[in-house]
Amino acid sequence: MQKLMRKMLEKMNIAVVLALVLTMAGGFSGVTYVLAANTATQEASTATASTISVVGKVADSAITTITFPEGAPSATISAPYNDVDTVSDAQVLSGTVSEPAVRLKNTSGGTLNVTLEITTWTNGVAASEDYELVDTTDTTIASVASVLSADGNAASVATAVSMGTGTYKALYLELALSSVAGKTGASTLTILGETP
Amino acid sequence: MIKNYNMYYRGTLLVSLLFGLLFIGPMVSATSVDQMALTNLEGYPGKTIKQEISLEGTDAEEKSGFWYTRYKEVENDSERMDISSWITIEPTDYTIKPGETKVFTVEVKIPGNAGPGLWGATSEEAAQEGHANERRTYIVFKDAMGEGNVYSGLLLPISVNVLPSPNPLVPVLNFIQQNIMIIVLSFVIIILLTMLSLKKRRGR
Repeated sequence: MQKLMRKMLEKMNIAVVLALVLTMAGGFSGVTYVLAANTATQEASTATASTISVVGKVADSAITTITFPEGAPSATISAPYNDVDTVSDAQVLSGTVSEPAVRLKNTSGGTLNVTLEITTWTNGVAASEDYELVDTTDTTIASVASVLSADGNAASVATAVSMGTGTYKALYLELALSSVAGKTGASTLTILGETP
Repeated sequence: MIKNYNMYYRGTLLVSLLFGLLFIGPMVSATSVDQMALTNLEGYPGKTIKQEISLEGTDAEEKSGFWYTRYKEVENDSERMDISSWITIEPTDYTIKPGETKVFTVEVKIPGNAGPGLWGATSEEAAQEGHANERRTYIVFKDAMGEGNVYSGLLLPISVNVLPSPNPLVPVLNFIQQNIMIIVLSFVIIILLTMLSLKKRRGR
């Protein structure tokens, strides 16, 4: 009888241990119990991010070049023009009826801060270059004084000007020629946008 | 007579309109990008992170441009802020047609001796609006139409969160965690079998 009892107890122990192990394993395996399916649909979208467009003084036509007319060595050239408006409609500096060299248009889905960059003027033709970036409604730009490049070399200027979506800004440029005579030089101007 | 005059007038108007169209340049032009920032990329020292970024030509004309990196120098910056030498973008040069989308791969090769933490920006919020001062390293693309000298582009901040070197035991621990049930059951079966064999030996 005692033998039978001992055997039964041993079998019960094994059964209990197995049951405990299974319970623990179930717990450890991280079973997730979903009590209710409460779901809600959410939706979001972001606007497109695009570069700032450089356009003509009046029309939204993209410009490709800005040209400074020839000048005497050490002269200041204040009437650059773009390839859309041509030399017949160059930049005008005036306290009342000023007109920019080009306009910038933000076609991006969000506000952009504007940074201007130029590469070094070739053949050392430039002594310095200045800019003004203002609202298009401002026609009182008689002088261009913000420094873009102090020595005609490559430079980058964070203008601290922000452009909202769909807005325009007027860009005025002025170039001081160096004392070099009889040379033609070139430089590229870059308009960079950045999330404010 | 009046009829002829009207026809002449209409004809002149049509010719003028067509002539005018010849002089209208390509309308407002821009290139779109699918990400305005690549910040908080994660990787281990000595590893390379690869991230795709695409541009879309939304112009009426083809544009040519290129990618480059840029570091915005700020006084008293730590050496962690300039990670421009870690970055390559392939392909670097591009031409993009109207409506075309081009995919580029940005590769960030983290040096083996880079310490853990954020590199390339002063905070993890650098990509958000109002945090421009926290950005230091950028990838930049710019393009222009034809042989133009006026480029337009975007400054896209980039930063890397360098992770501490991984613990060699992590894969083992992950394996145990994923197979805990099988491991525990196997362990119990082995114990039970051992106990049974021991009892049998004692019985003999």
